[in-house]
Amino acid sequence: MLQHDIIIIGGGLAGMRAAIEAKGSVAIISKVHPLRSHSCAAEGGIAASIGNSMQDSWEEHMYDTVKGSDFLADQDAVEYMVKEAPGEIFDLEHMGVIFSRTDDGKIAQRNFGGYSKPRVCYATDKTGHALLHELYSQILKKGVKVYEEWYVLKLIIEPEGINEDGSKQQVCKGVIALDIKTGNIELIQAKAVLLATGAYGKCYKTTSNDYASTGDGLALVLKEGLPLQDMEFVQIHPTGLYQIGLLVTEAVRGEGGYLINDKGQRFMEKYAPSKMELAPRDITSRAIESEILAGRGIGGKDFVYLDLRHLGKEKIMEKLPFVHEMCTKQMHIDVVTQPIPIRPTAHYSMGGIPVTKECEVLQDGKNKVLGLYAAGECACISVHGANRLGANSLLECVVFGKRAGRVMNLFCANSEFEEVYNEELLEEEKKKIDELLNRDGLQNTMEKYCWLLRDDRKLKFALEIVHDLQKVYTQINIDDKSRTFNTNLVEVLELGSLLKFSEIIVLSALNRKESRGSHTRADFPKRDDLKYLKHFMISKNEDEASSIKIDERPVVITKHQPEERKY
Amino acid sequence: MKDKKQEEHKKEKHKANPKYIFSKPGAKDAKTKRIKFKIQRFDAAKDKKEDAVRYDTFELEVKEGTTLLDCLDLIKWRHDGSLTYRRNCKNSICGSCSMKVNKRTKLACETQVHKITETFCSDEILIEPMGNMVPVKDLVVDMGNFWGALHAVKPWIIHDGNFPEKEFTMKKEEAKKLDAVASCIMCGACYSDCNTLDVEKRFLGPAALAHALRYVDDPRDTRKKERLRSLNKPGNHGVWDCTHCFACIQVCPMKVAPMEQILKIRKYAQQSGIIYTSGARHHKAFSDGVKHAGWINEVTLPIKSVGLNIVGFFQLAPVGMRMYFKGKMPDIWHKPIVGAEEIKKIYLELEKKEMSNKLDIKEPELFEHRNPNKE
Repeated sequence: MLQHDIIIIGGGLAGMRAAIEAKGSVAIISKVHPLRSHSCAAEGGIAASIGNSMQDSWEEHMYDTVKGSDFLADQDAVEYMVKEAPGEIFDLEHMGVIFSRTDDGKIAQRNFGGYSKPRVCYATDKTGHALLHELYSQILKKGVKVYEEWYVLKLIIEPEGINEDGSKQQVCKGVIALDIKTGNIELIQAKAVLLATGAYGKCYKTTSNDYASTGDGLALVLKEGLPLQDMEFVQIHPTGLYQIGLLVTEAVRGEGGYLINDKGQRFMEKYAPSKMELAPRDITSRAIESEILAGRGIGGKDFVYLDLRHLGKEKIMEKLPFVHEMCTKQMHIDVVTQPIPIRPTAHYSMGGIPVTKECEVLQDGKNKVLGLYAAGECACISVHGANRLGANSLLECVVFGKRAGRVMNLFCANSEFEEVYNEELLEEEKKKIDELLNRDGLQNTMEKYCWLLRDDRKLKFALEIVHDLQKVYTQINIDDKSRTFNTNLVEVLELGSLLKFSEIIVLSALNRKESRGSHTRADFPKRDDLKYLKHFMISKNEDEASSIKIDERPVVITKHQPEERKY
Repeated sequence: MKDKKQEEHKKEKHKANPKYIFSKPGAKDAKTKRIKFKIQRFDAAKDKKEDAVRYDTFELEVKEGTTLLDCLDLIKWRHDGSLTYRRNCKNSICGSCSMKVNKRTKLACETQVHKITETFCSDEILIEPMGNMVPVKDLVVDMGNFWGALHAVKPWIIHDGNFPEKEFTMKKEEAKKLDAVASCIMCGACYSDCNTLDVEKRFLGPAALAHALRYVDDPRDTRKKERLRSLNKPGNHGVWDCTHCFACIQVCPMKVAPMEQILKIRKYAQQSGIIYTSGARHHKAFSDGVKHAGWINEVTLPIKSVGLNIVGFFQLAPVGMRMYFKGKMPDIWHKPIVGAEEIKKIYLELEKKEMSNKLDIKEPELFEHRNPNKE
């Protein structure tokens, strides 16, 4: 069995920062190579009150963050984060992160939405990329074991003892994971498990998130009956590329970009006159949507312009080269001469797995799950409350990633590997995957399990699949949305019919425990005139799922008595 | 008046409107084209090697502005769910989706399908997995050697541990030097198309060597000379294995220009006295010949390249003998060509320029005396 002191699920910023800090046998499990993590797409920067361009303090950073959160953020956590920030930036710089520099050689800082001072340290407009690659270097240097392209299927959480309030004390003992390359499923035991699985933006169509942002960590804790917190707060970022959703960094506005409506007005003066384009993200997004709803989108359509033309080519190429590149490649727009069509896009999840300030996952309001931790976007510490300020997310990842690493070290020093009681767990997961891989549609199911030679086992399996398909059918999605000659719609209706009566075919076959004519049961090879020389009528009550009614009708026999059938 | 305004507005709109209309069926100004995607499929589970590889062709009606990744997704979601490839950010920053498109490695997410068909004057596009790496399934390859090479150049800052209280100060020019390599996304395109790797699997490859330069150039690193020495050591298959074919520069999606970085490492090494490698000697002999007579000195070039190496010298001897007996021996006297003086002047001018670009290594010469445990 594989065994590590500390397992970190997710190889993005939070995960790798924790891995650098962690001691003993440490492993990262990630469904993509760590360098492919979505942290690399973070563009704008990382906030810290190092005061390189203007006198600054952590108190001001804290106030801006709390105000930006609409006062839902937990202020003890915010205080910890902003106090740690400057030191963490210097640590990262010592590790080798290439920050952009001021004229006197210090780390440069720029302005961002919702901040009272230019506080955001950056590496051109590829800050996340710069951080991620440098942290990966540290992982290589340290020799952390990376299970790259492994997908975690299940957390192993079992009760051990009783909490003070009488509830069961849950303990995390490891994970079960699928090696994507080979298809093997392994149980990996651990003293401590850190969830650093990132975002879930993929539940929206217009999103700045990558393919992998499917909230797997959130699903893992839900499967164990653990709660999620503040999930209603989803940040919709104001500036996504129109129709594509890719993010145009907030740095564009930080460097002085304008938001323009159809009338050529900088409409933000109506919504946030003092901050203009640098209002926090929620306010700016609402402003854009209001303009679009009022018919002032460009050409009456559902987008507005983000205009950088007045910045000049030199500034754009020096400070925002990636925006220039992206607009050219994805939209054929030269931002030096053309404005960028933008629309709000789903960007960040403030909510997530509830954790304490020490990154320990909570099983309810009071009690922790021993050995289970969370950090980064998947966690809800909550430093962002109801709205996150730009450049605070990278900060959260590195500060709380580091903290989680240290807390786990302490925990591991005083604990042993816990025995996994349920020996069936691994087999169950393997069975689930097998079933998924062997699952068929209706036609294949009927052909495999309800064909010429039938038996009880096959038919029961077929019935199970048909029931599953019936459930899936209620959520079926139709591509063609038109009202004229919609064959897509008709096909879906037809499929409904197929699913309905196919169930009855299988039920009838199960019911007739003999072989007669076209109906052959391997488990009942003989004809049984005594019991089954009759017709059966089967109906199913819609309201009660399992209420199957079987009626009988006699066979009308007049001239010919039943005899052995021989040719 | 109103009409005119509307007209102007339409024009303006048209100018700024994105050509990206993939998700908008029914947009009128979209050019569409029927394009065939011939995709290499690979299934390692097949017993016979020749059965493992096959080509599947899918045909799609593709709108202008659609990327190759969009098309692959459509094929996967609508035609064949078993088509396997890597992808993630959709924004050419994660480096997942590199594959060979008409024999050149590209990122699928930034490859405009219409443009490819125009460039190659063909509506069929050939998609294959990256080269120089072992295929795993369809377009997915095992990048183990690629990561291994990266690891081999120690891509992390090595510092004695006396960190300043705050950040290191770094001049803007110093930081700018790091920009090119810093934008590398480790997509593997250069490795895939590297011609040296085709014949020498132990070559570290363009990406890893470019990263090596980044740490030589980084003012925070204190093991520059050690790095240079290791990268120049013939057995390490470092910078002298490169054949300057420019392929890596051509395919790099982030303009890292790995070959240029490799040449810089060679130059730095020579400048700091690491000249006892056959590559460096060859380089110098070649250049000296041209400097003095306007053309290479064919007699001394092989001898100088081999250097004080008895075995190497004896390996050269039979070739020399055969040349002598066949009357192919070049003139012992290296006769200057017309205009050799002018060439010399160019050299002197360039050398002056070089001196001002010299890498400033402050670390002590005897780095071996340091405690290696500190690394």
